Amino acid sequence: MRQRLLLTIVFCTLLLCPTALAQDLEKRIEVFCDFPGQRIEAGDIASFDLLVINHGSTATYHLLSWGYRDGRNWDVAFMDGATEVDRIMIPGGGSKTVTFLVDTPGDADIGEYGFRIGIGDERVWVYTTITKSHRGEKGTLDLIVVDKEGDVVRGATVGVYAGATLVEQMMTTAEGRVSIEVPKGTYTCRIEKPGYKTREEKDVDVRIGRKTDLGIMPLEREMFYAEFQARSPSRITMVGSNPVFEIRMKNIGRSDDTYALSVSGLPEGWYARYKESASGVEEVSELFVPAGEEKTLYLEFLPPYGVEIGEYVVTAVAGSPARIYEETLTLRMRGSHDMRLSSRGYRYETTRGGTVSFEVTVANTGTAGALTNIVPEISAPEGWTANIDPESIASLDAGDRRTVAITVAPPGDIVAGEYKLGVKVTSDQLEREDEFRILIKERSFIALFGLLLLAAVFAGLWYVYRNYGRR
Amino acid sequence: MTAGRLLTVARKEFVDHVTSRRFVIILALFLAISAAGMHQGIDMYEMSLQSYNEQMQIISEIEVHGDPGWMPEKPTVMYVFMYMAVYISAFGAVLAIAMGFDLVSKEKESRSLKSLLSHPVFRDEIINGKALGGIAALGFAMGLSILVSLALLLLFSIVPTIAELGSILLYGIVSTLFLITFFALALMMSTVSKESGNALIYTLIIFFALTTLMPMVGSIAADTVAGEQPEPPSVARMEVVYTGSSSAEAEGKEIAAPVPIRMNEDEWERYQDEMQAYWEKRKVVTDLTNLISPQANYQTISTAITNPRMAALMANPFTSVQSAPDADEAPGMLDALATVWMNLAALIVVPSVFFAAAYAAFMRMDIR
Repeated sequence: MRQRLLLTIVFCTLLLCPTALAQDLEKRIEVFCDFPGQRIEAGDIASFDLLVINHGSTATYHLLSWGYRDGRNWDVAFMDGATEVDRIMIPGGGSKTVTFLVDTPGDADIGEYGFRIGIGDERVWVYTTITKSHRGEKGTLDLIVVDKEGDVVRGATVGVYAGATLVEQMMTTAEGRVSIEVPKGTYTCRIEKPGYKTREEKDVDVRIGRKTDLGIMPLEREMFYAEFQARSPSRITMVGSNPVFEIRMKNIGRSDDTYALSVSGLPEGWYARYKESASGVEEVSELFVPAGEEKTLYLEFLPPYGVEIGEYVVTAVAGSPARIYEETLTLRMRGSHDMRLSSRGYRYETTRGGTVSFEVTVANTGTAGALTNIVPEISAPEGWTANIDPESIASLDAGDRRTVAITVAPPGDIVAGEYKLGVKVTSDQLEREDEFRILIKERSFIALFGLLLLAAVFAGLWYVYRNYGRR
Repeated sequence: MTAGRLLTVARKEFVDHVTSRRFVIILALFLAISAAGMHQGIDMYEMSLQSYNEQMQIISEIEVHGDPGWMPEKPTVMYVFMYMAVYISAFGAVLAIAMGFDLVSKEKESRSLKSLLSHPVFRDEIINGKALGGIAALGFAMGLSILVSLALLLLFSIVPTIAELGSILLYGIVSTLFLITFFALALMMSTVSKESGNALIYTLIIFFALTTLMPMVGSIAADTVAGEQPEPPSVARMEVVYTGSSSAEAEGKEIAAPVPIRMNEDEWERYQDEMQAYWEKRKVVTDLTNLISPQANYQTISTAITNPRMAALMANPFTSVQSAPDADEAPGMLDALATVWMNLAALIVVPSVFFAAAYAAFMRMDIR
């Protein structure tokens, strides 16, 4: 029964393919490959030159190949020069060369991969041996972004998306270049920059270990667009001062534009004004910027008296008919240390040999907390002695004041006159100095003594003349 | 000779002097000299006080970083007497001469000397008494002017220290000695001359010879003895070096900073040694001739008393007193006086000689 079934199949086959059988008998195809085995790194392309000889009559043959193991999923192709081919026609008795390419993926494992090539009745094997695998590595995507005028566009964002998922993102350099490494795959490349229309490049194939060069990608400018940026969007400033933000307004659109300037989110009691110079006082409410030009603005904040220490977030707004530009500014208000010295007078008198006592009040007029380790010091001419009570103050809270009693004694042999005395109060945070004048006078009886001496002289003269003078 | 009679004569002479109109004028001139000295001296004192205050403040500031190594000079009341000495040196001699030029000659002219000698009094008592009376009157005038100056200083709240009072006293003595010198000269001439006019003329001639001629002769003699003054090394100058090759550049565009040429130190030291030797030779001669000049002696001594620092500098200009103004190391009055002891001795010897001559002449005088 089994033999009968087998004979029936053979009979039917012979019956259905009488032509094929005739050709098999007539065509004699031989395929030669000088180097049927090649050793390459994963990601490289193995190229096999096949010499096909037709011993039969002129005929066209399919170019067939079969891969095995992982090689079944690799890209293979028959090439005639740069053209991929799938058939070959060889005149009778003639020969032709066709190249068989095996494009190995970068993540191919190390090992030998065989490919069977079938042309006509000939079957040959070629082998690709992967000597180094690039598994885990990425491919590189290169491109240059320019505008319509041919100028490079720096700072453009180039995002590589797999579907809607952002895989990698980079900004173009000053030369407009970007080189992004991404895993192998097929991506959509999106190029964005404020003021330019977004451009997408789909089906960008990135292979492991390979550089995919998209070449020059031109971007088209928008009609109206501006860059509205603060040089330092976050500032720390002391209470009592008016912080000023420097803001750059650059019209990068193709058309001139006018911007209305305002501030939103301003805390209660605050005032803000735009100025064209940091030290100026004239307020600016609108700004005209020609296309391609840039202007600098200064946004000054005037906090109310007694503003609390803390962080304030304000938005600077520049509105044009086309769109509104906003810049978020953060202002951290900090307290400042300050100390003031005061005294009832700054000129004191004493007689030679006497002392001078006066009081100096030290006040913490700052808002940043206590002053610590406050030490008063006296700077006086040579030979003077000074007594300070207290000699130091451990700390003085903001708003508090303490009185320091100072007693100075000039040297006993001092020459009468006016002398300068410096009182310096130092603390860990800051120091202040005040100047005092000390007038040293002679004792009051000295002048009296001089007067008496003068009187005695004239009295003596009078006496002499009265007693011995001619009568 | 008895002290009682001597003092009687001296007392009479003193009274005659102080009650004379001439003395009133002389006293007034002394007081004018005091006033002028006071005015200039107090000005200098005020300036010095201001400078002293400033320097003391600077020292105090410097001391924060370490010892400054010097002290400013304190202002002193001796500035007043320094200026007074200048005026006394110029006019004091004339005043002293005015007091003594006719002491004896006037008696001769009025023939009162005969009647005087007819009293029970010796000749030496008369001449000594006249001298003592004159000296007392001069001392009285000088003392008064110093006391008035002191009183005015106290009124200005300027109080002299004990040391300064000592200096003032010494200054008074030396000034009186200076006046006595010319008083003795006038007394001598008054004794030897028959007429007061002649006495005054002779006195003035000697006065000019001593005060003007002698220093001039001394200076000429010093130049002769010391020879030519050494020339300083000629390399002590600055040279401007022009850079650039073209003349246009050299004319003013590319001019480098002046480059000091390094002095030859050997030459400079040799010059200093030669200058020192020259100065010393000259000083010996001028000092010797100045010893005969009471005015030069007075100036030297009064400077030593009122401004010892300047006196030390004048004694030898090659000392480095000015370069090290440390108050502790600055020369004191006694140090300065030690350098002028010869002048002091001369200021005592010269009037003594004049007086001895007057004494001898009076004792041998033929009175008819």
